[in-house]
Amino acid sequence: MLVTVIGLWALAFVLIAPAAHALAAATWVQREPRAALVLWQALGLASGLALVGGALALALAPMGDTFSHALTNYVQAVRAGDVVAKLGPVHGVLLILALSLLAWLCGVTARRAWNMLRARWHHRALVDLVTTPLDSTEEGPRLLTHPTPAAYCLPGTSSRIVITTGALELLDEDELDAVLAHERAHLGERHDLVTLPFTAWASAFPMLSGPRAAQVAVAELIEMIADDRACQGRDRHTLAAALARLALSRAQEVPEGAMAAAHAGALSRVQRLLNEQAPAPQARAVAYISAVALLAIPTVALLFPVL
Amino acid sequence: MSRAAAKLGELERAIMEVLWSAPTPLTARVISDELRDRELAKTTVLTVLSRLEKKGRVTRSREDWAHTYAATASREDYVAELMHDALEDASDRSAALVRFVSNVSPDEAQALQSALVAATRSKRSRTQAGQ
Repeated sequence: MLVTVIGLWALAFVLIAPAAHALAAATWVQREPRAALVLWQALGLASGLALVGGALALALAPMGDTFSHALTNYVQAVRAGDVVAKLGPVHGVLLILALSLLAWLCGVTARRAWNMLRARWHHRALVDLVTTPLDSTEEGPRLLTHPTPAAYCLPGTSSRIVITTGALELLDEDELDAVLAHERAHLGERHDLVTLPFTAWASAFPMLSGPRAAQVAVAELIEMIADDRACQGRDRHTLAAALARLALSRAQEVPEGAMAAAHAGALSRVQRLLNEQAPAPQARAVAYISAVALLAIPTVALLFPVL
Repeated sequence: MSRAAAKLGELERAIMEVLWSAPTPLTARVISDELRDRELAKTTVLTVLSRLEKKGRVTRSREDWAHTYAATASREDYVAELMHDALEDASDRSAALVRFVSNVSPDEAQALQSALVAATRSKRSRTQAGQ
């Protein structure tokens, strides 16, 4: 059991630090953003599973020779009213720590989701109050009268796409159409749900650079995915021009010193749209196989008496 | 957005527009007069006003014999709040929405400028080739 625990924690460590940084720096992700996103999700899940699973396995070691066996025995003991069971004080403390870690991860994610929902409801109510329909339907994109160019979407079951009059003046008809298609891609694929756990984990572990790198990388990937979706049946250069125009209009707005928080996203997206690269089927296959393997390793290690 | 919700939202907006453009608080009667093209029943206007009051968008006060309504914040205040959310990166509130572009640095701006030239040039040549 101890070997399993050490192995799981080693895996978690490798995934959270070197593997996350390597994936964040990989260039093939530009060609296969969807596969890269799946790999990030597997990496996040596997590291959480290895970390929490390893801690639980260590805590429950006195209850059985494999984790699944130990867990079954312990659950039976708890059902019978014996919470302490065969656990000594050290294992008891370990169990509390492991469960706290799990609760902490879930709690941070839930709090993050709740804050986001509340902010979204508040923002949406204001959007409905002060914007007008961009075209004839109330259900379509909303036009906000403001000279600063901006385009964004509010995800959710009752979603909104908002575009300012400033952006409308800046973009030609095709460019506007491409921007709206990009926003619809975000909404349709619920990219807000994809990013939520990564945002939550990055804020749960502010001292670790891995989760932060994951959050930034995933944010960039969903932009690439939405760009690709928007360009289906459209000229990639149209979206590139729209992106460059809107980004440039922002460059003059932002005061100095605010740059640290800015993502280096717009330029690489424009360049990616202008210099279209062929898909990388081999990298894609490796990414999907690695994703399955990443999830399988901790699961198998916890369920079967391999070690 | 469901059809009914959309219609209600549109009505709320229309009433707010009337209140925003008025220099003084208005009675429900004056509001429905302003919106007479819509042929709304006065009770509909009152219902929407009470919804807006519950949401904190309007305040009601009693003047002589009639209730009057006024907007709690100006339209500009609300727009400013929306734009703040829309432009400000890295705050809890701004995480609620997904921006088309985030902020860029001056170094990036220069490269973006040449990329824009490249994008529009190739776009134009493609359009001409297509014609």
